[in-house]
Amino acid sequence: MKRKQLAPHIHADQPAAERYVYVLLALLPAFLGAIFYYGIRVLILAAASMFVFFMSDYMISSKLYPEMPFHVDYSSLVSGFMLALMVPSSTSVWAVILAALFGSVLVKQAFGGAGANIFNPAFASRAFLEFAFPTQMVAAEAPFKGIWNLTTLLTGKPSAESMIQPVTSTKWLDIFSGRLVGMAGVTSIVLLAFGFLILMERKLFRFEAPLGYFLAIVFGYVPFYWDSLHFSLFFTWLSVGGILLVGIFALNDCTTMPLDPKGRFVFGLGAGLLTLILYRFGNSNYAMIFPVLMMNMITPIFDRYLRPRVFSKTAWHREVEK
Amino acid sequence: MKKLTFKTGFMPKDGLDFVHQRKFMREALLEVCSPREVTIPMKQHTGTACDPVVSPGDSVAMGDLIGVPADMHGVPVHASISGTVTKVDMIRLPNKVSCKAVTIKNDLRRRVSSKIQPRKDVSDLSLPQLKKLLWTSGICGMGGEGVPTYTKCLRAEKAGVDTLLVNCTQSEPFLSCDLHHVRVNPSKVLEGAMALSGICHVKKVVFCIEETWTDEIDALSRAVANSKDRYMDRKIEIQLFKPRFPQGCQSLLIKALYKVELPLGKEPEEVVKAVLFNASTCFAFSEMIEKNQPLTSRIVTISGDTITGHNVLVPIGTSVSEILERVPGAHTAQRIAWGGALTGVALSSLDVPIIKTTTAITIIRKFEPPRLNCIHCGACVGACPVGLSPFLLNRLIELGQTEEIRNESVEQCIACGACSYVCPAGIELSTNIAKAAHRARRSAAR
Amino acid sequence: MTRSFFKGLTIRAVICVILSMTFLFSCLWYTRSVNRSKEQDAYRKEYGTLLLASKYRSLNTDVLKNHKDIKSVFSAYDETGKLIGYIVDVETEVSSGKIHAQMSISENGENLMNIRVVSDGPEYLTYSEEEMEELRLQLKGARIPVAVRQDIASDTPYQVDYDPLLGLHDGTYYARSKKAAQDGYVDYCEIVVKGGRIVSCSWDAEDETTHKTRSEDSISGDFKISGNIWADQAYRVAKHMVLVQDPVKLAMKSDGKTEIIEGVTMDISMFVSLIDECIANSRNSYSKEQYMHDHSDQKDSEDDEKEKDPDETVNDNGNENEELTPTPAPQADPSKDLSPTPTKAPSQIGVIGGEDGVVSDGDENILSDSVDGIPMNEIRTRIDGLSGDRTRSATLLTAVNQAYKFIREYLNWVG
Repeated sequence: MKRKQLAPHIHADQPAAERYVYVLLALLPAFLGAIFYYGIRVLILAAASMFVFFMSDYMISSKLYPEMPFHVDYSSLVSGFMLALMVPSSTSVWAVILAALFGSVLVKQAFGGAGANIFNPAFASRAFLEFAFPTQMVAAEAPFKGIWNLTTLLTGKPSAESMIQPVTSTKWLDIFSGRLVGMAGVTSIVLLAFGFLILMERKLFRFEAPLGYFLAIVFGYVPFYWDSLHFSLFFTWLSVGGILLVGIFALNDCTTMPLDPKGRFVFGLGAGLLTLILYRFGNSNYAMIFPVLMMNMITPIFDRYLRPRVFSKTAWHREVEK
Repeated sequence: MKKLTFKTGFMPKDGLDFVHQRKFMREALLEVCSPREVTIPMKQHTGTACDPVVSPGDSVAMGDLIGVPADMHGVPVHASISGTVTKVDMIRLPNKVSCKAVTIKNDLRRRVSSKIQPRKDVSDLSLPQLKKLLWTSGICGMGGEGVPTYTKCLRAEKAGVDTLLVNCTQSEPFLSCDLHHVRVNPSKVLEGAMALSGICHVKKVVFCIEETWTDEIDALSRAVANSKDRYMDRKIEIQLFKPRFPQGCQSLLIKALYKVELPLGKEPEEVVKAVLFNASTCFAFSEMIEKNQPLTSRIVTISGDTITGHNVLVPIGTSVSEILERVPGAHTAQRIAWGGALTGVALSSLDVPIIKTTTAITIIRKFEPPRLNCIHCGACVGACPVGLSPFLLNRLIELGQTEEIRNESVEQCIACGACSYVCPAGIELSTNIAKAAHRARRSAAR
Repeated sequence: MTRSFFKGLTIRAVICVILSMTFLFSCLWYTRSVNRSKEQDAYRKEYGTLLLASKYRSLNTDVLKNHKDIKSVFSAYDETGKLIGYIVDVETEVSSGKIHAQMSISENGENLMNIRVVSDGPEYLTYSEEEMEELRLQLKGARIPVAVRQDIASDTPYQVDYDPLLGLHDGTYYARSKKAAQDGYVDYCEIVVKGGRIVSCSWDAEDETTHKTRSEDSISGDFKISGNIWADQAYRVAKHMVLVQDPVKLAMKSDGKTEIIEGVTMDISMFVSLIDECIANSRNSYSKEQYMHDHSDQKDSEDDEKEKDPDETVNDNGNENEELTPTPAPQADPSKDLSPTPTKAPSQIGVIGGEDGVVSDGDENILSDSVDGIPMNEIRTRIDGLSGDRTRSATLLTAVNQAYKFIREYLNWVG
C-alpha cells in the first residue's frame, strides 16, 4: 500500500522540475528581447521546438525505458527553448523541428534518456542545423525589419536585403541592447545578464564553469586578437558571438557538466580557449557551439578521475577494533 | 574562555537550508509527561541486552532496578515510573533491535525508590565511588549512539586521554533536547562533565556548541565562570562551531577540532586522545551524583515542520502515542519520525517506546519529495560530508556491484541523510547507501 | 510543484518581463531620440540659412494634394516649442523652364523671410549671386503674395492703389432698398467718403417684422446661408468695395455672384445696386440725414415707389458711423465644415499676367486681374524686381506665390 518511508523526512526546497522551470524563466528576458527585435516568428520557433523536444522525449522514453519512474522531464523544454534562441529568426520551422528531433532522440534518448546524455541536446541540435541547413543559419534578419513580415513569418525566407551584414556598429547602446544582427536570442548582453541574476537568486548558478570560461575569454582575447584590439569591438564580439548565452546557460546545465567543481573549472577554461581558437582561425559559424560539445565529450573522464577525496582514504586498511 | 568560530572542513552548506527554517526551534518549553504505562526495553544501548529481574505482578517504584546487565558491555535498566509490572515480553524496536521489555502500569502514586535521596556531600566522592555510581546509573550515550558510558570511560582511561569533549552542537534540525539542559541547568551539565573528567583522568574539558545558540552559550559561560574556583585544576573551554549539519557526528567533530580524519573502526580516544560525551549524558550523571538518581527519564523534543516544537520530560519507556495525545495535528501527519528529521526512523505504528537514546519525535505533516531520475547534477557529491559520490554508489548498488562499492569506500557513510536531502530528483540515496555501508562494515569486521 | 513555487515563479516572471520591457523600450527610445536629433541637425544644416530653428517638423497634410508644386513643407519651432515659421520647398514649371526654390515664411503665413534657388539640372533656372542678393533685399519681410510692379510710380509702395471714382463729395451717404428681399429683410448700405475716396462702407439689412438685422441673425444662427455666415460675407464685400472704389471692379457676374472676393459666395446684386445709389448720392451730395429724413416720411406708404431727392445737399458730419462693426467672429466657426472657397485661379499654371491687366481666363473675362492665379487685389506687395529683367523676377515670384497659395489654404484649413 504505502511506500516504505525512508529517512530523511525533510527535503531541500529545490526539486528538479522547479530547477528547470527557473532556467526557463532565466531565459525569458532574452526571449522577450528576441521577440522585440525579430518579431513573433521567434515565438513560433520556440513553441515548435519546445513541443517537439518534449513530445519526442516523452514518447521515446516511455517506449525505451519503461522501468524509469518518470518520463516527464522539463529539461527537454529547456533544451527546446535554448535552441530557438540560438538560431536566426528567419529559420524555417521544418528545419527547427528536424533539429529538435535529432537532439531529442539521437543525442538524448539514445544515450540513456534524461539525465544520462553526454552532449548538450540543444547544442547538438544547433550543430545539426549548422550542417544540414547552413545557408539558413547565416541569413539573419536585421532587427526590426521582419517583425510583421508575413512572408518571413510563414516561409522563413529572409528578405533579400537583410542578409547578415558585417558588424559595423560599435555604439555601446547597440551592443548592450542587442540590436546587432545575430541569432535570435544571443545578442543582448543585458537581457542575458538578467537571466544570470535570476539563476543567482535561486542558487542555481554554479560559478566554476562560467568563471573558467570567462577567464579564458577575457585573457585569451588579447593574444588572439592582438592586431585588432579595441574595447568596444570586444563587446561587439561578445554580443554577436553568443558568448554570454554559452557562459551562463550552457555551462550551468547539470547533466552535461562535470560533477566536481575542479572539473567544471577546467571545462570552462577549455571551452573558452576552444571558442577563441575557432573564432580566430576557424569558421566563425561553428565557434559558438562546438567548444561546448567538445568539452562535453571529456566530461565523463572528469567524472571518473576528479572526484572529492573520501574521508580517511585508508579506510579499508583499518585494524579490527578490540 | 571563548574561541572564535573556525571552519570545519568539508561540510555541506548548499541546500541544507533548514538551518534558516522558521520552525527551527529556539525556545524550549518543558512539559512533564506522566504516562499511563511504560514499556522499558532491555537493550537500549549498544552492547548486550540486560536480563529482567522483575516479573509480572511485581510492584516497583521509580528508580528500582528492573534489568541487570549480562556482562560488562551492558547498562542496568531502571523503572522510570512507579507502578505494577504487567508483562515482560519481546519487543521489536524501530532500530531493528529485538529484546525483552518490561511493561509497567502507572499506579499514579509516584513512589520513588528509597535509594534516591540527595547526597550530603558531593565533593566527598572518591574516584572508585564515582565509577561505581556510573556503573549503576544505567547511563549510556544519549545522543543517539548509545554506547555505555562506563565502557567508554574505561576505554578512555586505558587509552590515556587528555581532553574531554562535551557535545552540545545539536546540529540536527528541529532538535533542542541537549540545548535545554545547557540553557537551564548548565551548572549540572558542568558538574557531570567534571565528574566524568575525573573518572577519565583528563585535565581539559571542551564544550562544543554551535555559534547560533547564543542563549545557551551565555548560560554556559556564566556557569563556567561561576564555578571556576571549584575546578581549579581543570581547564574548561567553550569551542564554537559553524552551524552545519551533521556537525554533531563524532568523526566530523574530531575532524573539525583536530583536523584528523578518524580511520574507520578507530575511536577518538586512541587517535586524538579525546573522549566525547553528550551533554544530556553529563546531566544524567550529575543527577546520579547529586541524588543517586539513575537514568529514568530524558528530554524529548516534539517538533516538526508545522508545529512549534517543545521539549517534554519523558519517563523512559513512554509510548509515542501517549506523548502525541496532546499534540495537535499529530495523527494527520504524513510521517512521524522516531528520532530526528534526517536520521530518524519513520514509525508505522505509534506504540513505540521512548528509549534512552531517543532524542526527538519529529512530526512531518507534508512531505512530497520529487521523484525523478538522476539528472547528474552533482548536488549529492557537494552535500556528502564524508566525500562520497552518492549518485555513483546508488547506481552501483542498483546494479549489484558490491566489489566496486567497496572500492568506493562506501563504509565511510555516516548515514547523515544529507545526500537524499539535497537530491533534486528525490532519489533515496541515503538509506540505500547506509545499508550498503552497514553491510560492508560488518563484512569487513569479520 | 507546490503552490508556493507557482507564486514565486509568477512573481519572478512578472518582474522579469517588466524589467526586460523597460530596458528594451528605453533603448529604443534613446536610439530614436539620438536619431531624431541627428535628423534635426541635418535639417538645420540644410535649412538653417533660411530659418534657424530648434526643431523642424515635416508637415503632412491633405492640403498638399491640391498643390503639386510644393515638394515639402516644414514647420519650424524655437526652443520653447513656439512656431516661428514655415519652410516651403517649391518646384514649379514656367514657360522658360523649371524653377526650384526654398523659402521661409513667417508663422502667420504673411511674410516672406528668406529665399534661395536650387538648381537640380540644366533645365532649371538659376540666378547669380548678385541677382539673388538684389531680389532678397526687395523680398525680405515682404508680405506675400508678391508681384512685380507695374511701371507706375506709386506713393505707398506697400499698398495697392485703386483710383477712386471721380466726383465724389465727402460725407456719409446711405441707400435703402424700397421693398424687402425674399427673405424678409430690407437691405441698406452706407458709405463714408473722405478726400474724394470711399474710406468705409457697410451693408446690412433689417427684418421688417422683428427689426433685427440680418448680420445679427446670421451670427446668432437664425439666418443661414451657404458658405461663410452672411455677416462675414457682407463685411468682406464691403471691405473689398473700399479697396477697389468702383463697384464695377467687384466683377459681379450676371447671376449676381462674384468670384474675386475671397469668402464671398452669395448674391451681391442688392449690394451693388445700393452702392450705386450711394455713389450717386455722393455725387449729388445727398447726405444720409437727408435721405433718412426723406424716406421716413415715405415709410408709411409702402405702396408708393419713392424716389430719392437727389438735390438736397447736406452738410456732412460723417460722425455717426453706422458702419457695421466688424462682427466679432469673422473667422469661420470651427464647427461648421468650412472648406476654403478658392478664388478661381487660372486653369493653366504659370500664366503670368504679363501686364497686370486683363487676363483671358477660360470662359469668362474677369475684369479684375490676377497673377499666378492670385487676384490682383490680393497681392500685397509689389517689388521692382531685377532691373531690366522683369520676366525672371516674375518667375521667382511665381514660386513664392505658389507657396503663398499653399500656406493660405493650409492656414485656413487649420483655422
